[in-house]
Amino acid sequence: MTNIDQARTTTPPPPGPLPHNLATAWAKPKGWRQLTEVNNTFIGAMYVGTGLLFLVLGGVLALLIRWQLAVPGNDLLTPEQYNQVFTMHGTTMMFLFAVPIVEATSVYLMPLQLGARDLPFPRMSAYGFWCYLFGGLMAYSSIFWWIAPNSGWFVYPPLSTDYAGDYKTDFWLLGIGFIEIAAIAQVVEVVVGIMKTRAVGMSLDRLPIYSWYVLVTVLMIGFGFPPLILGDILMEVERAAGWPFFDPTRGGDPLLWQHLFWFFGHPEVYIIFLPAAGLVSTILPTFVGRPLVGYTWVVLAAIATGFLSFGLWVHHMFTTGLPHLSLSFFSAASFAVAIPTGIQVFCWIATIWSGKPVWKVPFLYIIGFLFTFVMGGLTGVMVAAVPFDWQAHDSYFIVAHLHYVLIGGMVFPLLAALYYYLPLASGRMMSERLGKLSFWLIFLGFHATFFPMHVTGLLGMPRRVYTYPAGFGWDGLNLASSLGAAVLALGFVVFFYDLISHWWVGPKAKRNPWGAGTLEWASSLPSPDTGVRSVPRVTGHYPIWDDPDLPGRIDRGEGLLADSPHGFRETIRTGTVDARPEQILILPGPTAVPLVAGLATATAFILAVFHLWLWAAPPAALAVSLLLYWAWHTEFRPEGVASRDVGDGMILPYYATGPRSHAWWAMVVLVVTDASAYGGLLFSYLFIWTVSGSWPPGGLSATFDGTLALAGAGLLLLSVLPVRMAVSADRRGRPLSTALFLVLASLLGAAAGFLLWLLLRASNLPAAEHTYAALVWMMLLFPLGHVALGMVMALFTATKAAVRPRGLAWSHAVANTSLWWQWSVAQLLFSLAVVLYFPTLA
Amino acid sequence: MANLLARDNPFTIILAPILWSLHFLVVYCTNAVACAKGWGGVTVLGLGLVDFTVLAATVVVLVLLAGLAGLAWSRFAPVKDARDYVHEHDPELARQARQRFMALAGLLQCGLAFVATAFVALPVLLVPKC
Repeated sequence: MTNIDQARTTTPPPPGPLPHNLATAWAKPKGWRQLTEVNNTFIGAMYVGTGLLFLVLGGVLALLIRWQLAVPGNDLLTPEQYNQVFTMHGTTMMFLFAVPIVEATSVYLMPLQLGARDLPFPRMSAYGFWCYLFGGLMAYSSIFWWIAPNSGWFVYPPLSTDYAGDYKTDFWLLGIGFIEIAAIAQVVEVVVGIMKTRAVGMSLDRLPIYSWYVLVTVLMIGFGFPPLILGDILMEVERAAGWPFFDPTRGGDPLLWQHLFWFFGHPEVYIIFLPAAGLVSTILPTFVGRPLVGYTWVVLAAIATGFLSFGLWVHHMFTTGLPHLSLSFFSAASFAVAIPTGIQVFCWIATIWSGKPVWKVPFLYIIGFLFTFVMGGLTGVMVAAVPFDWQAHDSYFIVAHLHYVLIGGMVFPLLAALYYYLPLASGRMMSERLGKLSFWLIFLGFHATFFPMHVTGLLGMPRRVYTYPAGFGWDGLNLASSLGAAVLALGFVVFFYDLISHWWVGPKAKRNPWGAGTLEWASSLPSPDTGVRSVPRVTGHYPIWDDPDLPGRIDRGEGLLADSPHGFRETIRTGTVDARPEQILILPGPTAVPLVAGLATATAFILAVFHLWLWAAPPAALAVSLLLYWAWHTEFRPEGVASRDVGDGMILPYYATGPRSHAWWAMVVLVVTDASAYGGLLFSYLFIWTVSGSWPPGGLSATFDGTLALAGAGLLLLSVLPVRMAVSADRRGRPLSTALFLVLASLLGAAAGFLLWLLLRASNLPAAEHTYAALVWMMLLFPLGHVALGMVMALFTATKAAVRPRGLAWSHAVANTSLWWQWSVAQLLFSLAVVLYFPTLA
Repeated sequence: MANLLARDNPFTIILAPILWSLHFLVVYCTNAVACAKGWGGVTVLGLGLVDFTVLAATVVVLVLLAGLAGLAWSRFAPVKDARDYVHEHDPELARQARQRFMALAGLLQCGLAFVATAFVALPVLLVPKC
């Protein structure tokens, strides 16, 4: 009997009670106070639940679409209502279901699988989640008053700017836009979590395959979302203040929006698909009893897909009249991405081949995924060919293709994962019988709905039409799609009935019920709030298969961090490459701050949709104060305790600074993300240059005062010096000097900002009249906003430094302020150079 | 500044796709700007501006990728049998397994980036520019 067989057939005995101090540290508050819990098992479960709620809400809209289109000339919905329904269907499914739920799944699973007790910034996950819940519900509710966005989920101008009417597009820009910002919070959280909080010995080559996929995914979110957030800002400024960016009558170009949108929008498809592929790569080995074939090849595929997917965005714009050769570059890249996708598919097939499949429900869903996704992938290769796309573009063929890759590629694996992983949360098993029924209803319903659409599309039926006349040969196909949708919906009813009822009637799950090899199954069920009972040393991709006694050793507290003598919530921070333990992170306990701040943020944004600026001010102020209150209480350091023995005679410090620390990594990830937004702004400037005859265009002439520019730039450069001196003063334990240097830097920043403001005022560029002028203002205001935020950070950090006990080097806040400051200054100087000198070059 | 090519630096895995991205950016931007600004008539060394830039960028990137692949191979070859050391407790053997993984991952990335770069550049020989 091999280790794998032994691990698959033995049930570890139930664990003994937790040490008292560990149990109290991780105890969940009771009653309504539960909502103040920030632990990933609680937030993750709520997060997944909310994602599923939006799946239902988006699904109801899909049924309305299919009802409307079931027969020709139907009048269930008016054209305007239909526009809102299909727009909100796409928006809800993409922004409120698909992206959040893949992040939610990783928030829940990742620490369990990495052997961490929680992610490194639990309050940030919680804040991101509450923003998403409240903001999502408020944005979705616009459909109940028929004031929802109505120009498609990609809100193309001029449809979304000139013809949408009041509020509708604003709901999309503000309601959805700030959820994108919440998504960035999870990017920082998950990247740092994977890099820095792993089980000891879980070096890069032993990283669970799901973590590789999620790492690639969140980095893609980090690069793809910011240009869209920037686009959101530009479009909202155009709508609210009249600065033209996309209006061709004033020098703008609607295609700019399409570039910014699809630079996010295409990677988005892989952002949704990759984590689902990660789930498949994790679950599949369990059901065939053999390790994943080609680990390194699958890692290759995940990373390569992440990169290649950023070279595909123009394939959504093949019919916009771009140069032929440009289209061909994107066409070639679109074909090339089939290579890593093919590698994954063959690795999965080889894995199934290498073992003996057990036909349980999760495995069925995975087979459904393989079948459906490969079909969607093949139509993807078809539409990657420019001439074919010219024929199929904006037809139902595309609708069929995108649902095959999205539902096939993401929803099927997600359902597999829910059947597979819910015992972790509920401690009970879902029903095999209902599971098989739901699978066949969903699988057959799906194909009955979407397969005919390929044909409807090839017969010429365009997307987004609210009805169609009889006699084009579309009637029977549409009716078939609508009947299929009913079967699909019935499948989901069975699934959700099973999901909800299993919490009460499902049979109790034994430990490691599927005989899996990965670490999340080492604990008793439902997973304890502590995560792993003690942190094991990992040697391999399937720790339980490597050592069937591992759950027992974890239970007996033979791993690290088996107790919590000081009563803190703790997890181990490890080296990025070799996962060598380096530090104990103290994690925060329950707090209402993320909950209230999330509610306040969402309220402020939704009031802003209606341009009720005064009403939006109090909740915005509340949100900002709470965030500052939260920032004040970061960097908690226990008095008189600098380190402790975590087991095995290993003594780890409680504090570390600089590039090793989790805080430094978080700021670096944020800066990189922000740089992508700035890249979007720079692209906008250059794009408008390419479509304009002269530069500055339209007979405009800018007068930039060279002295003001030079003085501003000089002061900015100078301000970097005191910021860097503040960091070194802080490292040497001199809080007062730190505070003084930071105040000095802020003063220099303020003076430079004032000079540059004067420069803009005197430049004779009316932002509301021409895109060039609006872009110049934006190129400088965007980095100026960064410097202003840097000043808030500097003054806040200075205050913190001034009032804290002397002699302690608490330099996270200072070091992060310094990183942010230097990045903002670099951005502003670069903008200044472009705005001043590019016109002379061009 | 950390050495991006150090044996234990995870950047060695993503350098190849970064080179692919840079190549893609250069060829796309060159053609977009050349078409928008009517630089079709400009020639460099007897070649059209776009042809020249695409060919030059492609050659440079392919050479760099080949160099990276050579580096990855020189690191992979001595430890290519370390596959089974993934499960080792001995830190020295575990290190070999890790470095084998990183070298192989980098090598595979070079291969894919090489194919993808050449493939993206190919249309310049076949398709009209603007």
